[in-house]
Amino acid sequence: MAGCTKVLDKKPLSQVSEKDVWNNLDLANAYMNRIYARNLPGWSTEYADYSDESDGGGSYMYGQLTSNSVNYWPYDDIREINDLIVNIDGGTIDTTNKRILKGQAFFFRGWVYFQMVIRYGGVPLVLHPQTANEDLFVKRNTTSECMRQIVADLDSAANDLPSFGPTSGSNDGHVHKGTALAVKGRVLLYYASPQFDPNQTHTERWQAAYDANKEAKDYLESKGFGLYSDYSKLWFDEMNKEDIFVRRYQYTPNNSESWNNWAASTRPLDFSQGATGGNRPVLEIVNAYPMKDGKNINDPSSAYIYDPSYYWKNRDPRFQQTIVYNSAEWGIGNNGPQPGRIQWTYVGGEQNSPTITGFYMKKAVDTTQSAIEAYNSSTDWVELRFAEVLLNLAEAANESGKTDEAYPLLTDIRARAGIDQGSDGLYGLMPGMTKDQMREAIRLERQIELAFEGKRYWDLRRWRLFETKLNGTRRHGLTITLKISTDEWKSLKNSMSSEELESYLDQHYTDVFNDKVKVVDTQFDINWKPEYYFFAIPSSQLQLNSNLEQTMGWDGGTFDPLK
Amino acid sequence: MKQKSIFFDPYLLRFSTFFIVMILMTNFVLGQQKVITGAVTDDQGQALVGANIKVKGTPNGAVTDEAGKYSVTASKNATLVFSFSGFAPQTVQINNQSVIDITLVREINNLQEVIVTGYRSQTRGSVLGSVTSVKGSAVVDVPVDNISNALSGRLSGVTITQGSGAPGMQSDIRIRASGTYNNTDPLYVIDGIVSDKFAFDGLTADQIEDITVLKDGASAAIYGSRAANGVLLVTTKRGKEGAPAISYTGIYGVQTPTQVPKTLSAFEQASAINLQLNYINADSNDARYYTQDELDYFKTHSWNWVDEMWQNPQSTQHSLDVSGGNSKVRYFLGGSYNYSIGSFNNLDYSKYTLRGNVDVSVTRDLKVSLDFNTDTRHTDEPSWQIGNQRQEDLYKALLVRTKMVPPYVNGDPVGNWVEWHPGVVVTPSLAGYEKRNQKELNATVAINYTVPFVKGLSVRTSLNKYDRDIFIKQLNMPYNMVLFNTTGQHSHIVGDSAVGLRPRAADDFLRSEDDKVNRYQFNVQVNYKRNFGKHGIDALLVYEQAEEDVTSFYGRKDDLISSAIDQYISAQTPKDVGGDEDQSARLSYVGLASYNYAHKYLLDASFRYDASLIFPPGHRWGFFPSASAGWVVSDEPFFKNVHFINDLKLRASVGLVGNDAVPQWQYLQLYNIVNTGAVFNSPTVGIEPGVLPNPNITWEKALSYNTGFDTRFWDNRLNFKLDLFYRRTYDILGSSQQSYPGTFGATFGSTNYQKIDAKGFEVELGYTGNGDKEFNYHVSANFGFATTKIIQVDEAENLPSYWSAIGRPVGLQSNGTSINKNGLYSSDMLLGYVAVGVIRTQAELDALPAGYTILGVKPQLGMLNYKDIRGPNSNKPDGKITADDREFLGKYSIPPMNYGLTLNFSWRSFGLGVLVQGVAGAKSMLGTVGRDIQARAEESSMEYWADSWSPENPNGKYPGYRVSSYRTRYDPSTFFLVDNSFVRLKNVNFSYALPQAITSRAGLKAVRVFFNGTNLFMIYSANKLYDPEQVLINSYPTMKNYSFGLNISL
Repeated sequence: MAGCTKVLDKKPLSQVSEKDVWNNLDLANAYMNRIYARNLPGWSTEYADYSDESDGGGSYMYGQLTSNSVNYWPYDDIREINDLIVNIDGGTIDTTNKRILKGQAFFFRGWVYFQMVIRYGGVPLVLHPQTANEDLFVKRNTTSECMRQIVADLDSAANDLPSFGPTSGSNDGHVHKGTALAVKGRVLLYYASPQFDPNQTHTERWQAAYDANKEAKDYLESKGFGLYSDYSKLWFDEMNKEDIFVRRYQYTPNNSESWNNWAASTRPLDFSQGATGGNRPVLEIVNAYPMKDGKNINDPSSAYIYDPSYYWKNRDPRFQQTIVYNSAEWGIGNNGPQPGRIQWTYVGGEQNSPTITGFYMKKAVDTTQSAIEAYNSSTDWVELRFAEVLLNLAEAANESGKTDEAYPLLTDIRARAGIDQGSDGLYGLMPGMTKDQMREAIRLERQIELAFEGKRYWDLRRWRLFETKLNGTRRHGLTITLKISTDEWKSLKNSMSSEELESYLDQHYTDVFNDKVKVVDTQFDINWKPEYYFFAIPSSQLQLNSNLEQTMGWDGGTFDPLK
Repeated sequence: MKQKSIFFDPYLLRFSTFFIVMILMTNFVLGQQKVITGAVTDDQGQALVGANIKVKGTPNGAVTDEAGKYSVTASKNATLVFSFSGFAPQTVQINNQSVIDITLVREINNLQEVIVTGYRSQTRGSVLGSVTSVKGSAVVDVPVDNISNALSGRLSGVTITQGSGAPGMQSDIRIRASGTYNNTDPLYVIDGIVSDKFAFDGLTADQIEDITVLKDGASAAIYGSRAANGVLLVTTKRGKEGAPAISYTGIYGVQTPTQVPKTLSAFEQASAINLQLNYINADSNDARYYTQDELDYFKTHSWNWVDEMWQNPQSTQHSLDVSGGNSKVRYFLGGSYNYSIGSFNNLDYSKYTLRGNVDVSVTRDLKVSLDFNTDTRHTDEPSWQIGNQRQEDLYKALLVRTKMVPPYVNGDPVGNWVEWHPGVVVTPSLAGYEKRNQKELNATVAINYTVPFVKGLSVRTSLNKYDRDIFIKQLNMPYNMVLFNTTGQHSHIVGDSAVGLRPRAADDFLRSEDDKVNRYQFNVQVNYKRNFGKHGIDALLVYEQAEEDVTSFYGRKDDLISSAIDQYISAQTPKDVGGDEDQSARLSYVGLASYNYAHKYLLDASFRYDASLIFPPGHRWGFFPSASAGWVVSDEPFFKNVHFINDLKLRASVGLVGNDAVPQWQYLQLYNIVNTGAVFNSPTVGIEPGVLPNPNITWEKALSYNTGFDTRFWDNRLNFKLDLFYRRTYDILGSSQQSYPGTFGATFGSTNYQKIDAKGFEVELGYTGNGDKEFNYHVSANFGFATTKIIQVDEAENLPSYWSAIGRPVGLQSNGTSINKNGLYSSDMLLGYVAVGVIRTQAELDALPAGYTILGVKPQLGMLNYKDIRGPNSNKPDGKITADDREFLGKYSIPPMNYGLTLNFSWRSFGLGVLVQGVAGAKSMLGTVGRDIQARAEESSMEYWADSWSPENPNGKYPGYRVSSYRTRYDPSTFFLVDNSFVRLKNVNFSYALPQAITSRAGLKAVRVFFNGTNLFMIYSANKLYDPEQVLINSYPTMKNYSFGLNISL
């Protein structure tokens, strides 16, 4: 019988053995490529909905979340990362490269745990690839234990990762020492914030956040990172000196990780494909933009007069670079750019799912893309840019009693934005602000500078601002209707070139259009529940492990996320 | 010729003389003799060669010749008995007639009929397991692209579901209740060669002699490792001694849908959008509202995209074969051609087959045979990226396409609201195509040697070589739709002046893929079959070895210079090249011994010792034994007095079979190379871990018990057959993901863990009418009941018992496995809420407890309310509806009962066959398309949503609650439960054989014309919304099939 068993000698032909991966640098790097693909943050219009940036976000905004709504449990990614951290030392790859690989793994482990902790508070810390024989019914670690581990991982990453400058050529989307330092700054800022310390008793956390962000800023500047000169080109001049933590895209049909459809969902659906519409600015964000001299729209000291009918005039330049209003120029097209094209958002001006708020959002929407290119967009996602490091540092400085240190950080950002310098050189900032006033200034600056970059939702959580700022309110938009008949409007429109039409409307908008404020939360007031600052662990996970405690505030919850 | 030689046999001559003397004596006794002549045909008009004619009460008789003619001498008042193996005998009074033509009706469960079981042939009378079979000739009238589609409803205990009506799409075949979460496909064995579904579907009905299904464990155990789901044995036709017989069959068929679910009209769709906007209190100026002028317009303008694009599928089929031979050489040569067009443009399918076999008797003891067959299948399809190869998706998309947008204006495809255009997609010159060429080449050489010195000993060895090649070429082209001006106060109406183009700028590319399968199977088999007095022995030993290579290679180039040159030479950018390779092998030893005493006491025992490469060396070999016993009670002396029972056989069997239908190499820690690495300066390749290795992985096993009896009453006219079975499947290979906390993080492969019990019974009852020479009939009915019970399954540690699948039948909850894949009619798990009704009035709303929420939402008018059963930590109502309130909403999602009724009538040259079939006892949840009410211009919803609650329609049947997004999706609940029980007229076959007087003048043996209709009429259906044989409400519709055919033999 044995003589014939030779036919059974077969080997797997389409897979790689475990040993090969840890003994071969190219294979180990490919393993790392997949860790990047699975763990890098990317484009999402979702978070704008859960805030005062866009409409939508129903269940979050109206208090309808259930204990199964937030399910983010990426322990498969953690396992893959742990596998590398534990096994790479046993392989034959040279020490330099082993160190770089481990540095990246530490970075992503810290990053993924951070993503879990800001949602749930403490989670079980699993730091090695478990075997089926050990005790797998783990308990949740405290939030502080998790934060300590995240910082430790980021420290290990900063220690092991190479140094890149923004133009070194090797900064091709891999994380580097500067990335680890900047993310550590963000982590400690979160940890010091009211979400994790509602009564603000842990002042030492703000000091730690200050130190980390200061180190990050100094280090990054020493490597040539800094603010990029043109705010409007931040997203199109890829890998510029401001980009610290980036997910790169380059459309390749067989690689689903190589493209994003953010632009498709952000563009009007008449000029889009494969999307359902997100990032529709509400009036709250539209009105938050200061005037061109950096003063609030209601501030009588502003050099510019705010006219609610011509609200787009003389605003912070970032307004025009972010918000698309009825009659604004926006050169997108189905087949490619249409320079000089004007966007209409009045009733009847669009056909396919018209914007509910009356506005569109243009940041990072590449006008050179056709509708299908917007669906398969190659625009890079910048998760963390230098401006945020400045804002993080400013906040940590202010909260740790160094309010003066915040000024130059904010004015650098305002200067780059193109706000008038002002005779005091403060770019519209009030001189001599108290800590509380400076806190408001920093919060406004974050809201404007980082608008629609997926940061506002997390900031509102971090500051525990949902209840005090938004609860009981509704978000607004504009209903824009023609004052003249459709035929009159058509002949008016056809009588002018688009530049002429634009400058005509800059003077005679109110002759043609009537803007009326409307409520976009038509059914309910915003009703953020206090327990939403730390979500429930989904019951599917609790069912798998009776040692897991539910978060306090949720059904039967006993786990205190503030410990 | 053979009969002539018999007359020259001196021994027979002496006998003949004796008979002649006897006949003369009888004549003297009974008086006047006459010669009666006639022809014997089957119920399809085919001449029966070698049928027996006996003059009752005398030794007189005759045998039909090659044309089915006979001539017999008998007294004018005598009775003739016509019989032929496999047919019900018939008795006819002569009554002074001189020409008696007779049609014999096929009989089910003829005891002398020889059927093929594993590695041998047996008479049906000696079969001890649960075996059912169908003759190829029974399905030749059904024009189908794939043979599996023709078998539906014809095999008891076998469930066949048609996947989709796209031409060339095959059906799923499942035998008895599914006892595993893994693959439930039966094993296909064609002419003794272990094969697969693809090869099975390459056959055409007219080339098939018969198909036998081994249902019970003991019968299937001889195929051991892969027989857990039963075995389908196919025997193809071979040449028989005789003059060349030529047969031609031509069929034309056309199909129409049985039922297309209705969707909202344009006006209803617009109204639904307005209703949603009202519901969410949208500003009355909101541009999304449909204004009165627009509503009025849509009252008279509604476009049905299915109707616009649909064409009724048609198919034609021609087959021709010739067979014959002499004592030295016998041959069969046949070919067929099949061409079908699908329900949309550019869905074409054609199939050519060629098949031949030669048996050469080299010496008296040595026989050599060569079988050779090949088929080519060609499919034309759209270049359709979404849901490749399943054109069902095209239908699904069309079904809910907006009714408010015309597909074409002035002949141009409209791009308003429409992102892609189905009409363009099915036009190859505009959007490209996919062409699929599939070829099979199959050859077998076999040598049979009867060992001359040992009586009853013979050796057979065979080598089969099989090659398959599937070549796909895809041309994908970007295309433009035309944007038209819009009219109406809110610009909701498509006008007729073109204002621009809307590109569907998919990538511009050519792609090809070549998939090859190469395998061989080598067998050596030793048979010993001999009777010693009343002791009969039949034994065999087999060595079987097989290897298989599977390779795949694909390449793609983008940016064609011109789509007019659809060749790689015109594509400029090489984009993607890839492929893979896999090998497998099998090694088996098979043994079988069967003993009988006077054919009264029967015993069978078999084993199979099988190696599977799926498992690690220490767990690779599996031993699969079986034993069966039978007792022909009716042969016992004490039974001689029971006259009304002709025969009665009791039988019982037990067998162990295996299943290894899980991915290979799971015992090794392997890493997969994937093309989804991150992008740095350019996209990269990544590596990720494969499944967690399981070093102990081994066979999944099923132990089956089968018992039953076969009996015939009343001159063999009534037959009854009962089978009871019980099967425990254990060591079921499944993921044990649920047994570990999510923090473990590994992807699990297969573990031998789960247990499922299946049991049931099958009853067959048949009656052959005591017809006369003109009218005959045969009626048979079958009923099957089969259920499953999950004994052990991978479930979460803390899963509450009310959600546990343990103790319940398979299919109720998906449990993260693919159980529903083959689970018939099961569209979604039956875990959901118990609906208590729509909240219609303020009073009802006010009556709800304070703080009451329905899935997180404060109750509102128009909402569907559910029963509050329990909270997260208690089994008492907790004042809100949460996921904890879900229950299992039905007992079965896979029908436990199936039944069929077959009626065959023949009158003179007319034949009529009727098949009624159905299932009962299962429910299913409406799929998401049925539970969604859309509020957007791009898509419509099911028609019943027009009757939903609103302040103006407070008694609307359906809930009126609308979320602020474009789609409101209701959770699974009893409100959306449908019962899939039905009884339908599955098949009608009507045929007419031209009188022999006419055909013989034209030099033809027989000519028959026939009509066949499938799914013509639904007798009863509990499901009013869609055809219950569809998986989902929006599945490709079940089709009615009308076909006409012609059959000529000469």
